[in-house]
Amino acid sequence: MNGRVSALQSLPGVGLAKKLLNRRMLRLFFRDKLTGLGTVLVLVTFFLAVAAPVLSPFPEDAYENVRVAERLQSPSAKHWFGTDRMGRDIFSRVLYGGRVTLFIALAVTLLSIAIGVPLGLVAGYYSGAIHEVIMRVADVFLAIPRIILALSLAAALGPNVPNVIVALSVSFWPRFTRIVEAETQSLRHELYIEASQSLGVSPVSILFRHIFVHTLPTIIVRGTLGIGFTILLAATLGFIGVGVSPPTPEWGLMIAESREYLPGTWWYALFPGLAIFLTVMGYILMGDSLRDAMDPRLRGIEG
Amino acid sequence: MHRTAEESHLLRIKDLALEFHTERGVVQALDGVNLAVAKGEVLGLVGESGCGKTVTGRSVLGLIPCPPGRIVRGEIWLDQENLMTLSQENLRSRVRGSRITLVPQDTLGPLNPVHTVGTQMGDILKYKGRSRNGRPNRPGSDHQEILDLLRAVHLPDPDKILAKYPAELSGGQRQRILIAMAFLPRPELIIADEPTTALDVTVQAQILKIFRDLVARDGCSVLFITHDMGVVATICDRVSVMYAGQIAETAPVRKLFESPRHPYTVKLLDSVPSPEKKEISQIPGTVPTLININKGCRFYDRCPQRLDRCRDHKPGLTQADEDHAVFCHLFG
Amino acid sequence: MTSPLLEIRALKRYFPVRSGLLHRITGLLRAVDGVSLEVNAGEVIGIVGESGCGKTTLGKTVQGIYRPTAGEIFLEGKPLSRLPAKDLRRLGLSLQYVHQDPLASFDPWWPMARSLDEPLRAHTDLPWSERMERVVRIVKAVGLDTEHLECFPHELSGGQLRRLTLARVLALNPRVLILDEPTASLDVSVQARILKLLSDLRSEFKLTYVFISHDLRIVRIMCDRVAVMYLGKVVEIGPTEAVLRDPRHPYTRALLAAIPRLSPGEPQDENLLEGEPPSPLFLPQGCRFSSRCPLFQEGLCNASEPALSPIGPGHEAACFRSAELSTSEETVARVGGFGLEKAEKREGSKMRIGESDAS
Repeated sequence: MNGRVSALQSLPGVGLAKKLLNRRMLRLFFRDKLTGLGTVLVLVTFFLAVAAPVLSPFPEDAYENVRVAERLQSPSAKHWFGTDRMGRDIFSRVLYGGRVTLFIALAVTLLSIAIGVPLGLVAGYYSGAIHEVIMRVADVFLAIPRIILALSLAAALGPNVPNVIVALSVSFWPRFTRIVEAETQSLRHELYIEASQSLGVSPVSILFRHIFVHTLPTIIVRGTLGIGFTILLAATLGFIGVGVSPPTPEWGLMIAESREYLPGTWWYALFPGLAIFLTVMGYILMGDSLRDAMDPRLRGIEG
Repeated sequence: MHRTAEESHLLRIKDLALEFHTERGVVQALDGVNLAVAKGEVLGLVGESGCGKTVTGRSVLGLIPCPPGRIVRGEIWLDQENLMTLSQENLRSRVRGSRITLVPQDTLGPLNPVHTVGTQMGDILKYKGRSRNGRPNRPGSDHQEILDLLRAVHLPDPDKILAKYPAELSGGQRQRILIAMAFLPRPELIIADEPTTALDVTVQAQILKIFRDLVARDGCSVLFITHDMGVVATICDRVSVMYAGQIAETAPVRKLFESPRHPYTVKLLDSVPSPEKKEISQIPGTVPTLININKGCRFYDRCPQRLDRCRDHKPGLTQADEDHAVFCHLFG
Repeated sequence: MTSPLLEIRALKRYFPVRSGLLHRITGLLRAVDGVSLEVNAGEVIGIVGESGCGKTTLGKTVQGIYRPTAGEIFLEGKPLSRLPAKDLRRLGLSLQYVHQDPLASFDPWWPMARSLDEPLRAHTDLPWSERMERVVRIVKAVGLDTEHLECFPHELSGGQLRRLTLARVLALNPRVLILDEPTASLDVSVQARILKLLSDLRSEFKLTYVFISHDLRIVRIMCDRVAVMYLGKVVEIGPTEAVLRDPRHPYTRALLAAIPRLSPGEPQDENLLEGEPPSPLFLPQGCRFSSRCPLFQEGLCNASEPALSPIGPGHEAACFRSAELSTSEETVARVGGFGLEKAEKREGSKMRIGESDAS
């Protein structure tokens, strides 16, 4: 037995990462059929999005392209998902659409977390003016339904990807603030926090090294569920016309385009819709199992 | 441990072996436990945490979930009936709460927070009560019996108590009610699982006195599980000492304290602080994990007087005296 | 005559009780209601009482987890409330509180190494490797090894966790440790080892202990002096042997009588208290113990509160009728008085524990 403790122990979150990546954890991600399905969907959609340029049979169709002769063709060996009104291969566009959608969803979620979580931590730990100001501001934003807020902002700002991200983030961050504030309030009274305080550890240190870590499960669950809803919102914005603009391959936009050709050209709406459905499902199914993975105490049944 | 006539024993546990199948392996929780409680006697079952005393108590009531538990062998006899042959349904309807009752350590969990004390005690009599002469009680006398019992446990204003909810009472008051509830159906055997561990010492002293008085009044038998040797001295007639799933020694209380035989008992008594002593000693080493444990005496690793034989050969029962049994190779 | 290392003067800690829709203050919980104590360097003073007597609140208020409602705490002669923040921080490290529940006092998601490193990281500028060296040294001093550092709190036993709470606090080189029920919920055999460890650490690190416990048996083994608390006040205080041999407050007697004896078959029923302590929100008039006291005297005990008055050298009790509690042999026998063989006392150490710890 060597007398030295491994250097890894000091890095933040390493304890967590070690717990996450061992074999038991992997079993957790697949512990029942639904959870496994969720994980698989998330991984598959992510992979497909990343590998879109490689996997698409017609990468040039991703944006602007016209093939008049092949317009609105039903699915075939050449075009697995059929073609759209410009003759572009829908399969390729769905794949590329995944990139757009996922990029937006992840950007929105991360931005909202970056704004909302620190505010929630501070509001939960301190009482008085700081707490009040932060929570009231968050309340104002929370009072407005997310979609209306996003819609109005997006309409005001103009239809492009950065604006969509801003609009969706503004409507999302208060949710993190509220849940983090609630968790912080209760964690603040935990005995180990009291112990750290009596050891003279600074509040900032306590907030970010102790409390924040314990709020991660809630954040992750909310985040993964939020990704799902964000994807839907982005698609909605696109569908209405205030989101990204053509020729960007975005699933909502594609469904919007398909409207005037329905019900005949069923494939035009089906495949983007299916993509939305599967992606959102995957994140929601996986969100639950991730939360369970975070707590080391839930691992294993002691004799 | 064995009296002249086996029939005088109310509870007999014969060679009970129990294991738990867990992710980390098979935990051999009980390894051939032999125990007997005579009619009208208070037997203490004492040991440290993890020794299996609570598991033994719960096994009598069939409350060990199987799986992950599994009874490997053994018999549990209540009077003339082998409890292990009974189905859960039979146990529930005929034994639990009527012939055998339990006084638990936790005072809040076992009481239903949304029913008053009166309702809960009334339910016991309604579903489990057997009156002294075998006939069902009349409703009025039920109420009287409850009040009498509440007075016997030194609860002032029993009428007021009946109307209260469990959360409105203190820990000491709740424990008295749980004791009253255990005595209410006039059971043959009461299993008390560390009922005073969580209480202040002055409250504990009162509770033990109440317990003694009620046992004397009703003549029931008690299996009193505890880790506190002082409590054993106060309330028990005989005591069995357990270590890591094995019974080390069984004797009348006075004999055990005056002349303990098993090395573990000796060391245990030495490490207990008490007003009579100024020194306490330690037991080096730690309690072994019960997975993949040696087949012989489980105190082997820490025993200052161990023999080679002890590791792999289980000691048998030796009668150091007519009523003093030791499970140790040093004596047989 | 040197001044005491730690001095507590008329310390009070009240908690407002709020109820109703508007959370108005409806009552005052006087958890600690005027406690004065002096603790000399190197001694072990015990604080004994049952649940609700205020001993934990006292410990936490002294350390600074709670701010005192009134009164003053002097550490090394300096009043803690009047120090500037920087000095307070530095001095406050000398006074550390060890929680009753070792499992709950560690972050369950942190490996032990990180938890033990935390105070060093917060208060020193040492690089990680040096901090780890110190941690390993202290961990060995409490009888554990590096393998325990890689565990999570729930993977360790009660005794091991207790050792680690001590290790964490020792990293700051404290002078006074307030130990809140250090052996609570530990098995009897483990308890003996922890007590021996505490004794060894005290000599090795030159510590002073405030030893909070509900168990007079342990206090007798560990403490030089003892203070008995009831409902927020000290009712008796003095050298341990004196208090236990000649208890002059009825509550102390009741505590002694209630301890289950190892000599079977001799219950001391006459000295058992009835009932439970009154709620600290509704204190009786006059002496707080009057509602349960076997010596209660109408007109005397419910008229005013008795103050601590001297009985013998260093021994005080707060009872109007303490003089009547004699030390006749008969009383001693009834109370189950502690055996009085004069054991030789070793310099600076009250502990006499046999056999060394082999683990």
